[in-house]
Formats: sequence, C-alpha cells, structure tokens
Amino acid sequence: MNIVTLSFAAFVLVVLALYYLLPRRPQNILLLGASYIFYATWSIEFPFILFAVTLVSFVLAQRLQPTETNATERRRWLWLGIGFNLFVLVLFKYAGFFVDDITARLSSWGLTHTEGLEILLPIGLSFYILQAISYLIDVSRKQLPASTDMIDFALYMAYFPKLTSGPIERARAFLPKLNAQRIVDNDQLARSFTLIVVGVVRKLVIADSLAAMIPAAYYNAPGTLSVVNLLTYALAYAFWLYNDFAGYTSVVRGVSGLFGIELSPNFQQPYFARNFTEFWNRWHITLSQWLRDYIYFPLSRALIRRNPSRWNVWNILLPPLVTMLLSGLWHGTGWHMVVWGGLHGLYLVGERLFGLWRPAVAPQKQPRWRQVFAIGVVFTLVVIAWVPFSLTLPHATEFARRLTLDRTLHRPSVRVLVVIFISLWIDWVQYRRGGNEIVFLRWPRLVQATLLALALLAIFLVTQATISPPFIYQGF
Amino acid sequence: MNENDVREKLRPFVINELIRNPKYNLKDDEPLITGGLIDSFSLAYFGVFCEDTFNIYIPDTDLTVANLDTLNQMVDRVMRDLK
Repeated sequence: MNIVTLSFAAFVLVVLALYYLLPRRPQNILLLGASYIFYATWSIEFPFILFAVTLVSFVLAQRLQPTETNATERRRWLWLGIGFNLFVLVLFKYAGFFVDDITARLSSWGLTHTEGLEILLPIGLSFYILQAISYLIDVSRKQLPASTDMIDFALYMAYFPKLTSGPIERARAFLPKLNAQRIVDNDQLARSFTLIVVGVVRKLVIADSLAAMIPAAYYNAPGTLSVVNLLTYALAYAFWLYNDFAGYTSVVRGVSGLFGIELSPNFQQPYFARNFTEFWNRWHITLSQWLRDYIYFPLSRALIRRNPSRWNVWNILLPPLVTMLLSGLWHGTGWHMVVWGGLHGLYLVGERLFGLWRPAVAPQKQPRWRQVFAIGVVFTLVVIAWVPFSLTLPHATEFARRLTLDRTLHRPSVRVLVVIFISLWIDWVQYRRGGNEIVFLRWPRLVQATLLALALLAIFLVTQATISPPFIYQGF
Repeated sequence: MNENDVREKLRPFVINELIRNPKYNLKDDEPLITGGLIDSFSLAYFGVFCEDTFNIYIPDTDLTVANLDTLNQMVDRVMRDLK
C-alpha cells in the first residue's frame, strides 16, 4: 500500500476512527496491529521478518542490562545483537547481488531452473535494522533501560507511518512518546494537514512530474543525449529525489501528527546549504545523525585519543571517508554507490582541510555574495555526486565523457525548469522563516485558501497525466 | 571543580582549538553549532578534551545541538557528570 494513494488515506481514516474510541494502552495495540497489517499489504512474508528482528532485539536487550550480566558478557550479547541485525540486512539486501552472480554461473553450466534462489528485499528493512542496532547500543551504554514492554518496543520498530522509509527514530526519544499524553488540538490538526498537503504536492506535483520528464535514455544511454539535456536531466533528478523523499517524510509526519505522535524531521532545505557539513545537517537528517552517532564519533574519538593533533592525516581522512562509504553501501549495492559515498567523503575531507588553515567563521556572518557563491558550489558538487548515485558506473562514465565531447547548444526544457522553480519557491518560503515547514499557516486565510485550491488543482491535473512511481527510498 | 573552573577551562579550548581564533569574543550563550562555528569534527575533539581534562565520558549520542550548542550548555553538560 503506497503512502500517497487513496487506499492509504482510507486505511488511515479507519485506524484513526478506531484509535480515538480507545484509551491509551489499547491505542498502542491498535497501532501495532495496523502497522503489521499495513506491512503485510506489501508482502505477506515481510511481517515475519520484522517480527523476528523485533523479538531477537527485544530479548537480547534484556541481557544488556547492567544488573543481568557482567561487562564482558554484555559486550558479547551486544555484538551478537549487532551481528544478527547486520546478518539479516546483508542476507536480504545484499544477497541479491550474489544470487545474480550465482544464477549467471549456474546458467553458464546449463542449470536454468534457479527460480527458488531469488531473495525479496523487505521494504523498510534498512531503516528498522538501524533502529534496532541503535536501541541495542544505547541500552548497552546505559542511555536507556531495556524496554520491558514488548508491545511498545514492537511499535517502535513497526509504527506504520515511518515503517517503509523512516524517519529513523531513536528508542530514547520515541518510546517515551508512546506513554505520554497525546494532544491533537486544532493547532496540531492544522499543522498535520499542512504537512500532508505540502508533502503530497512535493511528491505528486513536483517529484512525479520530474520523474516523467526524465527519458529512459538518461539512465540507459546517456551518451546519446546532448550536453544541455544531460545537465537538465541531472538537475531534474536532483530535485526529483529531494522532493520524492522530502514529500514522503512530510506526509508521514503529518499522518503521525493526527495520532498525536511526532516524528523527527528529515529535511531542511538541503539545497540552500553553504557547506557540506550543513548539507548533511539538512539532508536525510535522521540517517546523518545515526551515522554520526554510531560510526563517525566513535571512530573520530578513537583516532583523536591515539593522536590528538588536528593535522594528523588519519584524523582528517578516515572518519568522513569511512562514514560516507558506509552510507553509500547502506543505500545499495554496486560500485556506483561506493563512488557516490566516496565523493561525499572527499568533499567533507576537503572542507576540513580548507578549514584548518583559517579561523572558523559563521556562514551567516559572511558577505551575502559569498553565501550565494557557497550555495552554488555545494549544490553543483552535490548534483555531480547524484550522477553515480542515479546511474551505473559505466553509464556515469558515459555521461562524463559526453560532457567533454558534445558541443551542441540548444534551449533547455522549460517544463523541467518551471517544476524546479516551484520546488525552490517552497524551500525559499520555508528557509526565510528559519526552516519553518508550516510557514503557510501564518499567511492570511485568503492566500491559504487560494494556495490550497491551486495545490488541489495541480494534484488533480498531474495525477490524470502521470502514473505515480513508488518512492525512491523505499528501494533502499 | 566548580562551574567557574569548568568554564575557565572550556572557554580557551573552544576559542583556540575549535574556533581557532584567539581574539574571538565568545559569549556564553552564543550558538556554536547552529551558528556554524563548530561541526561534528570539533564535537569529537570536545568529547576527548572532556575525557582528558575532567575525566568524564560524554556519550556520542549526547554530542548534540540540544546539549552543546553554547558555552553555557557545554558547562552544564560537564557539570552534570562532575556532580
């Protein structure tokens, strides 16, 4: 059941109606049941995998309690838990890569009946595995007690608005919300409704339109396109990806708000970032924070303890490179993802090296022209990195080669630029008010009504013209 | 060690090592992370500095904007473990 569909809207309405008939404890049980039903609509096997990961993580966390076992034993249980979760992730996410190889080899030996070998990637697996690992680590670090309530913990893992593509929540912040008072007043309703409308516009009007405008040749044969078209479609891809994921996040945060449960924001106008550190504080925020807390910081601190010099080459190189390479692998198999992660790692290393030579200056205190220039540089480099993210390595190479060979000039697609302008306008309006996503609620009623009417009209027209593709991040 | 001692140790560290400008006039409530003056790299240094200077371990998940955005917050966070 896709998030931006009428069937999902109907599902949410039914769950909401039942939800508000019940007191707190049964509400959580209802949400858990609804989450598993929602997951089963994708594939009947998926809930079993989710339940297995949930049960093992819940049981192992009990062994991480300081009163239960000694430190060495706790460390062993922790690594068992991390190992189990990584095993499940590798089995389902990366095994396909090897299965293709094995199938090809068997075929070359004349064995063509290999149907049973296919492994289906459970949607959302990459997201809830990270939640399970962070929970186990936090319990082992005594940052939260192991949950004694299987229902609440299972809901933390399975809560349907965030199940397929995040936000990646932390148990420390999420579990207390399940037992706190949930207030859904008029303000909360207006906030949720605004998030849903902005999210649907981002997904259906901006992301899906851009997706439809990018021809298959961009992915399969970039060498056949002109330079102008290649650059236009690279831009279109950058705004498609952003609006697709930011739109999804906005919708699910709005839906969750209707249940009185706040989910973490994931995007804050990332294409207005003035440096790469800022970009990663604005793009897929919950994943960035996860990688920072569980990979970047432990690695950085271990290296700094060994050699505290700021100029130590390993201190500068390793943490950003390792973190971003792992981020690339988390997004998918294939060398193109490694190249994407490596590029971002190198961007961060370059920024760090540049910063070592001069005192830190707050970006907002720099002259306006420098800020605009910095935004342009960061955006350009980010778009360059999206090329290997979106294309296989041979096609990305073909793309780069074409840029140097083709000299034809013509007008870029105006339709693409118009849609990108809408995306930039929404971001600009939010950015000017400190990243406030629901800034539209401050506007006069007449303007709000006009905007809403325009948004509904645009949604209607676009859904008549294009078929909505699934969310990109669901595939990760 | 009282709050003033902690502040007197943290202030020169932040100015000289993290902002890298000895002449910088750092205010106690000036936003450092949200203001773009220090980043994750600096926070990792801050974590190790606290281990060496105050003999406390601030968990990685506590090295956040919510806990350490200003000098005042840094002092509060250190004092929480020293008490």
